[in-house]
Amino acid sequence: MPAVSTPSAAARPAPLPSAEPAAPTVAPTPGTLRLALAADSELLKTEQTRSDILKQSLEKVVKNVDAAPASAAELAYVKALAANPAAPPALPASWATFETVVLLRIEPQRTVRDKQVSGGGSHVVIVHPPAREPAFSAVYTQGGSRFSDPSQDLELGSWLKTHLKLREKGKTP
Amino acid sequence: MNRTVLRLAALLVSANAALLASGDARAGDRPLIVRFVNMTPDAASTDAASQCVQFLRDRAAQESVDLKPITETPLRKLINATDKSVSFMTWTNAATEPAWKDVDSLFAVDCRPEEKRLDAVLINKTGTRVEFRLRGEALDRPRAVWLMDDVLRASWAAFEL
Repeated sequence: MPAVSTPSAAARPAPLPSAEPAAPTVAPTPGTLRLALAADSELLKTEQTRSDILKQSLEKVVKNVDAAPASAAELAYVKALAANPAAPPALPASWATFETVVLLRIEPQRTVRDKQVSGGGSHVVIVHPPAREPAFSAVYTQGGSRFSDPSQDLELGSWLKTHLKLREKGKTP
Repeated sequence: MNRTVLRLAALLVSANAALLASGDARAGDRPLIVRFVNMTPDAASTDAASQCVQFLRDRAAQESVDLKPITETPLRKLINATDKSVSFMTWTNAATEPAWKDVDSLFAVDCRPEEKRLDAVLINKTGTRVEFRLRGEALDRPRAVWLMDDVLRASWAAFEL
């Protein structure tokens, strides 16, 4: 029986580096959400459509949803987080005014019968700036992702909305 | 006579409804089987932590999942992972095979409500592996339901009859 690998990661996450630049002092605007699909290449039309479906779903509970493919800084953020989930990187500056950020990491597209198909999702990250640690992160290896099956997009929207509702409820004294 | 027939019909309808509502009543079906382990360290195992884990188990049970609980020490022996300085979040599919080869999934969770912190890993027999991290959120029953929704969805995604 193989021994369980012993990577250098300790049982508890490493403390966040103190040398990082201070978080932006701009307060997040209530009722704002940034939805970004982070991919190494341009999104397929189907992926863009699915992003639009998610946006419409989230707009039922959030006034302003900004949905657009992830910027270079957002892509770098999710890559750094994937490399070391226990030590979240600094937030991209553009997130400072958003109350919530939902980032979906999209894997490289695959070719099936000469047709480009989505590689599916590998990470779901929910951040509430200025908190640096994601409120939720899930890393999916070899399938199972929330963004792997287009038939579940509405369910994903509903699941994200439930998070926002629970969070709002938690704020109530 | 008519009243008797109606009663019989109502009984049959009720019986069918009960069968349909039961998660394990369909022919050829079987429940999802999950080995469940609470990895919360002893020092953080408060009443709230135990309750958090119970919320997760309750939700799985509500979804007709066949839970196979195991405690940390025998699990560590089973998979030869006795070094507690290594986080269970780094456990791989290959290294944990003895813990999932006879079930569909292994689900390990460390829940610390006082710190508003939860770490969990789901390892499926079919190769899927998911790491979950929750920070800064109240770890109450509704949140447990929310999390288990994703855990069980990912587990079912790799389900094979």
